[in-house]
Amino acid sequence: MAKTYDYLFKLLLIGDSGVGKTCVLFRFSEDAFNTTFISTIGIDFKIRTIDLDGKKIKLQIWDTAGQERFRTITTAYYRGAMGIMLVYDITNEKSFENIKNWIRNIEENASADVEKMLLGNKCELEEKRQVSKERGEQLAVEYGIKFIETSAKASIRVEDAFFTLARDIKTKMEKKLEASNPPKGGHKLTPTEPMKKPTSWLSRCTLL
Amino acid sequence: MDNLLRDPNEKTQYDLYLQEIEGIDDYWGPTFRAIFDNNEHVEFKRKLEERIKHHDKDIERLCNVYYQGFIESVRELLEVKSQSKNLNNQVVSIDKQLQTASQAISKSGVELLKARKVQSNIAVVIAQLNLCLPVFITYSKLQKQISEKRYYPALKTLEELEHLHLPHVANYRFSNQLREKIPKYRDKIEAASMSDLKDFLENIRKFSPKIGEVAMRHTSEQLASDPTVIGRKKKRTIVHQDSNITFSEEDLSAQELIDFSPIYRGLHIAHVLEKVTNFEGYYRAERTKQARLVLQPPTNMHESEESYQNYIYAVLGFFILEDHVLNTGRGLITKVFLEDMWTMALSKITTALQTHSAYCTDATLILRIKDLIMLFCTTLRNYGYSVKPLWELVRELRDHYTEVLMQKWVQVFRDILSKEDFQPTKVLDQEEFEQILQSFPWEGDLPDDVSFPYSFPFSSMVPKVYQQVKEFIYACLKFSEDLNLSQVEVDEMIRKSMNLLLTRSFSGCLSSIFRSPHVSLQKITQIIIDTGYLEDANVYLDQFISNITGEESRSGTVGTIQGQHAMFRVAREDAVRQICEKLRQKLNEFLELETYDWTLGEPKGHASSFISDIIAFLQTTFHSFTNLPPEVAQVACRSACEHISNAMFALLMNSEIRQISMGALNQLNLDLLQCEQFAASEPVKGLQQDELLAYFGKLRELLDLFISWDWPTYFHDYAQETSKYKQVQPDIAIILLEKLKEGDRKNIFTVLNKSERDKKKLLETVLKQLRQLSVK
Repeated sequence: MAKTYDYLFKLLLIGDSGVGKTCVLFRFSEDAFNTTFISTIGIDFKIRTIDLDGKKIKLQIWDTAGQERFRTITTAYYRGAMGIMLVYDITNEKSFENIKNWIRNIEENASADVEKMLLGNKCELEEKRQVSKERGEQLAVEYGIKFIETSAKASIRVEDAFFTLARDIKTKMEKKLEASNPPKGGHKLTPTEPMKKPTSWLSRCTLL
Repeated sequence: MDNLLRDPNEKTQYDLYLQEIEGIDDYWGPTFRAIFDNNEHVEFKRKLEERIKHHDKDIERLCNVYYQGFIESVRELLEVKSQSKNLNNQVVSIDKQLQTASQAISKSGVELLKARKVQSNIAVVIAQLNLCLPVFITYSKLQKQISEKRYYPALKTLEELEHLHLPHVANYRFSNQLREKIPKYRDKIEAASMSDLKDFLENIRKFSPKIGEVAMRHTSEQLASDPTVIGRKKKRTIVHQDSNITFSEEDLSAQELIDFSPIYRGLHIAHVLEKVTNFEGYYRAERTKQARLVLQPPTNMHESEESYQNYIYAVLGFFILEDHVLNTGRGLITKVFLEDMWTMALSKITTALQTHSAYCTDATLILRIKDLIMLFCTTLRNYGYSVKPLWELVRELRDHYTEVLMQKWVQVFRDILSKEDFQPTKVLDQEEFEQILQSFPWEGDLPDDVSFPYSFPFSSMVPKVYQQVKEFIYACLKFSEDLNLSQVEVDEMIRKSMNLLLTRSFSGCLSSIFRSPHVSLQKITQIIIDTGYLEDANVYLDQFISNITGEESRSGTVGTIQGQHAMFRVAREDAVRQICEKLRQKLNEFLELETYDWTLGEPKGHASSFISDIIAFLQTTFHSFTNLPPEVAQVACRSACEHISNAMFALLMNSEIRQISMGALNQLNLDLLQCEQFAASEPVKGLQQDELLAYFGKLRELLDLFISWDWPTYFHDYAQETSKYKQVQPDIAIILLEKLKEGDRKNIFTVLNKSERDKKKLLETVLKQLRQLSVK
């Protein structure tokens, strides 16, 4: 069975309602932008296959509802995620402050070795900026994760963000494959495997 | 006597003879005979001699007597001769005297004669001149009249000249000349009157639009002052009062603006000249030509109201004038002629207006055109023209108007929908809350005390669309104004239009949203919900129309209610189809992530991740879309289950997958279990028990058969209703069995123990049996 891809990565977009998660995803998957705000209900996903260092990588990106009332539904998806984008709105102080809560959510629900990334969206609205780039960078350093400012509307660095996250996951996975010496040559690491890892991996987050 | 005196005897005898001879002049024979016979001739001769002597003596005596008298006479004659000479002298002298005396008299007599002749000549001339004078007077009058262009009197003068005066002076050469000139004058007058007519025609051609305009204004003023329509016309009246001030001098009736005298004059003249037919013919021909010109609409008439106005004014003016000419023109045009022309015109007007208004896409313009046509009709009717086709035209125009309105509202709906986020409407305070309830009649269960922010179940599009439908109804109504339609008709029309608007235009807009590639599930869901609310609100629209038209509401009848719920049926079906389609797309994306290892030795003990994801996604979706109408959710859920089942089945049957291990089948079984679990968990309310499970039934039977290797039962119960594996066709079983056989091949070479060999044998047997069944 010839698969059309080498790896399947599951990514998750989280963040407050209205920070532009769906728009970021829309920009990445369709290279388009929709001005009308439609808050996501429950959960949705998009799939895009990218080429990374000669490997075909299928990204299944889950777009979660930021609204509180869907929290129970969305947290169920944390577990399967291999990478999580934490998105805030640079023109919205509150959304930035809430990143802490989202991180806590991840720690509680996601697998410990999940790759994370901080996204400051709507960077085209410089005149309305409330959160400086420095504060974003500082917070990222604090959690030991990468940070990037994007604009879904102006199509700034959205691709970069996803590619960076995908590359990090890929590197980590390949490293792990080498270390564990898989028993069956043809068998690939299925996404479910990381889920089975012991929760002691949690400590790795802080190390990174 | 001498004889008688001689011998009486002898005497007697001879005397007798002598007597006889003397007495008779010529018949002397017998006498002589008698003498000879008696021999007496000698005697007789002597006697005769005697007798001759006697006679000579007598003659001699007589001559003696007369000679004396002669002499005396000559003497007397001489005497007279001298006397007459004397007298002659006297006469000559007197003559001379007279001659001198009469000479003067004779001279003056000649003079007198001359004078008398001159006098009589003069009298004759005077008499003749008296006869000629009127001719000249009349002639000069004629000249003057012609130069003053008073052709009709000129014509009369001409006639007088010809018949009264000229006959008296027929002998004169000038009279002949005049006589010859008369026809020329006539021609001249005719030509002049014709040219007058031409000028007049030109003039009225210029003027007729003005007349039309004035007439229309009068009609509208009349309508405005008509108490029966005053209510509707208030606005217009005000406008016209203003215009009255400015145009007060034009308050004449339309016809009074035009001087018709050239026509009457021309007609009189034609009458006199006995060329009425000519005149009539010319007039009619010209007017027909003009009519053709007038009826030719400007090419870009549909572009502005003004050009419509000009056209209608011109036509109206033309026919008002014709009507006037008919009434006053003494048969210059006949009723039949005018009617013919009107019929022709009517059809042309109708076509012209029809074609041009068909181009028109501006509802307001159509309304104005309608008003214009209506006024046109009324005015024409006032002048006695039949306008029936125009009414029909207005009706057609109404349809067109509705059509245009719908087009317009399609745009409105599109705008609304394009700006719509399809989220339940959220209000933050009481004011907004009231606002929504005011704009949209909703009888939903409102909580006793509303806490803010409050969410209505429908999106903001619902009140907006509701309002727009109302607007549309108003717009529709505008056309029916002054149309003199019955309430029932108006009511029917509005209801029909509104239904069309909602079922066709609005549904169309909705459908086009469904077709856009980026429409999300939740959008469609909200639209379905919204259509439900809109349908419920139909009762209020119904009432709304009834209030306007005064017709009884029809919401009570069963038919309408059914119609109501069918209103968006098509759109909703479309929506449901879209939901299923969207779901299927998502499911396909999951299914593409399928990572089956078909040669798997041992199952992993839990379901494949893509299946878990699918199930989780479906659960989340149906859980999240709590506001999705149950029947829609049911359809969607069924469709999803069917899709998954079919996809899994297709995987098994995929011809590209040649070998399948038992382990892989077991893994598939695990996945199927997961699906069945979902199907049994009542993910959507209102589904019948096991309804969803049924979709997986075929796959379940197939897997059961293979995993339990229960061939005896299969063959035993084959083709029976009660068979456990009745959905497993031999063909399918063959395909799967072949794949299993291929998958087992490797093992056959490595492990050649007895049980494996038996198993292989069994497999072959089963295959053979299946093939037999399959052939049947």
